[in-house]
Amino acid sequence: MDTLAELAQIETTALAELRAADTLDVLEAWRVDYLGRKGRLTGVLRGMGSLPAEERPVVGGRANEVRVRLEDAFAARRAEVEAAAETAQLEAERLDVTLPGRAPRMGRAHPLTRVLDEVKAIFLGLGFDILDGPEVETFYYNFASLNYPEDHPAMDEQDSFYLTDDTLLRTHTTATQVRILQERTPPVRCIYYGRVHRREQLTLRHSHTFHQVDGLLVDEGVTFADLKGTLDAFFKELFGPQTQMRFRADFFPFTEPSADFSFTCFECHGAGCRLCSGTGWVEFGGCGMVHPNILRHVGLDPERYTGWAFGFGVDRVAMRRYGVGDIRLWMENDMRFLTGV
Amino acid sequence: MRVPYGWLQTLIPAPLPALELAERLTMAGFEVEEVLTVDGEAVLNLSVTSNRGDALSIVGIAREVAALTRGTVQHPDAAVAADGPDVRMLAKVIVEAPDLCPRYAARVIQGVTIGPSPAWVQRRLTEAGVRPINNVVDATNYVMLELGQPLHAFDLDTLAGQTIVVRRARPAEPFTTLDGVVRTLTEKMLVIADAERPVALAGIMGGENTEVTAASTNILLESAHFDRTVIRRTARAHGMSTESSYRFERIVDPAGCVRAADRAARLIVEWSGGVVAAGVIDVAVPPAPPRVIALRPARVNAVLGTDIAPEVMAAVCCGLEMCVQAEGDTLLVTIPTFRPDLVEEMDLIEEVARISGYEHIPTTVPGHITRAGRLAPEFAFEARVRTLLTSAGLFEGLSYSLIDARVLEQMRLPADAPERAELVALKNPKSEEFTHLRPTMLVSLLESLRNNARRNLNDVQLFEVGRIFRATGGGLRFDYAVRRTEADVRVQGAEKLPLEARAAGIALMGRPWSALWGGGHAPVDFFWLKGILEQFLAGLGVADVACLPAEHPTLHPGRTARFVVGGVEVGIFGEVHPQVAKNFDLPERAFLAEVNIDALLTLADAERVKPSLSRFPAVDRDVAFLVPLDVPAARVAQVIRAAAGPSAESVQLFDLYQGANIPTGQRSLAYRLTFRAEERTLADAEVDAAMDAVRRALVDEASATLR
Repeated sequence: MDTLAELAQIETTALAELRAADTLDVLEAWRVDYLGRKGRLTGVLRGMGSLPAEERPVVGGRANEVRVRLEDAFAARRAEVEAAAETAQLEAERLDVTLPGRAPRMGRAHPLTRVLDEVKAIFLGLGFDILDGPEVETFYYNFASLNYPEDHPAMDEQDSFYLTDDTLLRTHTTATQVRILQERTPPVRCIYYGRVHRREQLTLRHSHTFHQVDGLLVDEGVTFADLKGTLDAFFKELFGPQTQMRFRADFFPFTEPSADFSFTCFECHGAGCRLCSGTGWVEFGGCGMVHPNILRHVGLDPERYTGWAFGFGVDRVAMRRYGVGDIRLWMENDMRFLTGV
Repeated sequence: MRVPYGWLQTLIPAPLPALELAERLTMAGFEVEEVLTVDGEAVLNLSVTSNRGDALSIVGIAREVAALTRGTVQHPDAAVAADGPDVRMLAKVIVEAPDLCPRYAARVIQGVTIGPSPAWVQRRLTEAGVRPINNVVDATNYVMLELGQPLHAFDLDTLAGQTIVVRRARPAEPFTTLDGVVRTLTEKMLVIADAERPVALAGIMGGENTEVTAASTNILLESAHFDRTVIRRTARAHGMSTESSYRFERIVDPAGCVRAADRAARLIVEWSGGVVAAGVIDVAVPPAPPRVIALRPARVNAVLGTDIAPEVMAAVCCGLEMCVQAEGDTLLVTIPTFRPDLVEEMDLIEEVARISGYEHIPTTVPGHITRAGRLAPEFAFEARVRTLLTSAGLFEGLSYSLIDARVLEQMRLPADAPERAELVALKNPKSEEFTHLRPTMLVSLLESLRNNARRNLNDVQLFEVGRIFRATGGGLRFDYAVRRTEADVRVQGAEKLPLEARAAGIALMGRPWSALWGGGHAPVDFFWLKGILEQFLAGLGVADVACLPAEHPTLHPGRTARFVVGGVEVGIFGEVHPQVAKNFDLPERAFLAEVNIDALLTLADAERVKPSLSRFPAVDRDVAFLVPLDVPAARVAQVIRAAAGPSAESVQLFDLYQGANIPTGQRSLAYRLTFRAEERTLADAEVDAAMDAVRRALVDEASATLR
């Protein structure tokens, strides 16, 4: 067989084998077999020395044509096989995407903290400082300095947890009021919040431990209308612009005039529901103008300065917001509760 | 207090319909809790605040209604035909304790016939919640409800010597009250006695010995004024609260005694027959002159932020039965004796606001804000702590500050442990479960773990930020920032308070994963907690933290460590001791940490280390070796870092092995070092030289055997 015929034979066989090659390994073996340094095509070229001189350019040209065709065919086939392999691999890697996700759990602040964060943000926006006070207080700050009459029942051991005759767990955050007034000069514009205690049994609806927010503004020209406006602005921000406010006369030793304040129920918006016992209103806390005796006591002239103060409990607001009915659940740290609310 | 609407109508004609009236009274400070229907009659059940004892009567409420509706009270008729013999011939009153009984008035009615009261009287009493007894006792109760003055009727013939002596009780003096209970009295209690023995616990309850019975014919009627404190203390001491004591503990008009006695005598004669003795016994300390308060209309409007006309203010005061006299721009208001709660101008400002209606006061937002609000640094720091710990996958819990001290024993704390020795106790706990203040966060954390384990919730990742208490004194320091001069700082009594410190605690148990399949079955361990704490401290910018082995009775002796910064311990953590785990019924290994927030607050952001952000390529090299077990990993890392020089960007442990093929007493450690220079590409030779130095140092300084 002459060399040209041999080349044609190689090309035919090679292309047939290439079409049959369906893995990258077989393809590589094919490449070595035909196009490698010791491959068949190279063998033909190597044998060219024995050809007559006039035949060499013809055979050489023909051999290069075959090489180029085989190389092109190889590249094309390899691309096909690679694509098929990739498709196969992707198919093999198919996941059941409905399996549960798996990651370390993400933590969360307690619902009470989240509500307090909202409260703080609103009052910072209204220009109030946010201050802290101790949970254990002296009789002086909790009662005496707040104009309590000598025999007021709230001071009784029946109602408050005492540590000694003169120290107790604060019964309201108002206990911090005189501390602040003794150290600051007007304008005093702040809120202070935290944990308070009353001497109660722990039951479904009552606890000995709860959390309050108190506010205080003392300056020249501070009015009762300002107090109404500030609380109105605060609760509209907390519960939405449709919230309505109601002030009713009340009595506290440390304010005069005094009021309790209610807002339209944030569940039914005043229509009346189970949450607000059908009244449409939720009673939040007490407020009023700082009693002149307190201003005098801290060395401020009540003719020159007036002020107001308010206080309200946050547990109830937060519990209602997060749909908690049992007050004991609030501080038991059940993981279902903490991860669920 | 229950106010029958029909009764009220007899004193203030044509008031508003019952429901509307309830609403007006509620807004004015007398909260109507419900409007009852008793035998077809509306009854307002309202609460009266403790400063308004004058309103614990139908007349008192009628006065409020009159002010609110611009009406006038038709006061009950107290005119009495006293045509019997002179009362001083029939009875005698001696007040030995005028400090506790500033006024004692008495009338005598002779020849009564005891029987039931008229039906309409019984009905009104029932509506008001008082049980009808007989026509004499009912008259005293009727007048008490009507005028607010408690009265008592004695059977005059049973009073020894027909004498009333108002005196302090004798030590351990026995006395049987009307309810049949024998009570032992003390010298701090006030009694009404006859010539021989106590006949009533003053202002609280009468005695069996002088009770009005079916056989009584001659009555001594007491209408007195008692000191509120002695009434309150005595009632408390005996666990009693009566209609009478409730009123005396608040405010009863001392000037109303005689009028009430007259009214009651009139009704007794009307309902029981008999004759009223001439004259009234009235032993009284001379009353103080009536108080006059200057009310400045301009001041009223300045305080309230209103524009109320002076005439309206005067009308409010007149409506409440005060005398008003204009003097220039000022209203001079004479305060009636039944309103001792009105002491200064501000009190009258409240009356004006209350009666004209809080709802008519405008709503304004206070102006002149001079600067933005500031969050106290303590709160800002606590917020940062919460953010970091929630980022670490922990959920915030809250626990009571009050604990059961027995739990400390379950924590294996010996009696002399500071947590127990410095424990702060309640003087008057309400229940056995809440008797002391928590001395450490670990108590709360263990209780939370127990609560969860009880409900088969074994995967717990919790933290809490709160306060702990120790009897070491001094309170918690607060800086209110904008101070007056130092001389003016008068915060009082800090030395009386226990130590109140800020702390954070972490409790971990079980699996921290959102799902159990794949890698999710791996539970947390000591190093998971340590990793959280390290990142937490780094996140707070606390530098130069050392972690050292430590001991704590509650924690595993070999798995406890503390973090120390500059000699100050900032936290302790470890695995729960197996005995403690058993005591708290913990189903799995659990891990606890407590950190001192007060200390961290001062150490945070001590220095900001600027990170190197070189753009040149990094070279990784590994080194593996054996070291004796007693060489701590921290020491090994320190030796490597020192030897590797400044171009070592990181030194990380990536393998730890101990067991088969490793000699006893040794462990195999493998570290990866990453080298990178700030200003150029490192040459291989430089890195090789550094690694040679590392290997030499490990052999020389850490007793390592290179592998």
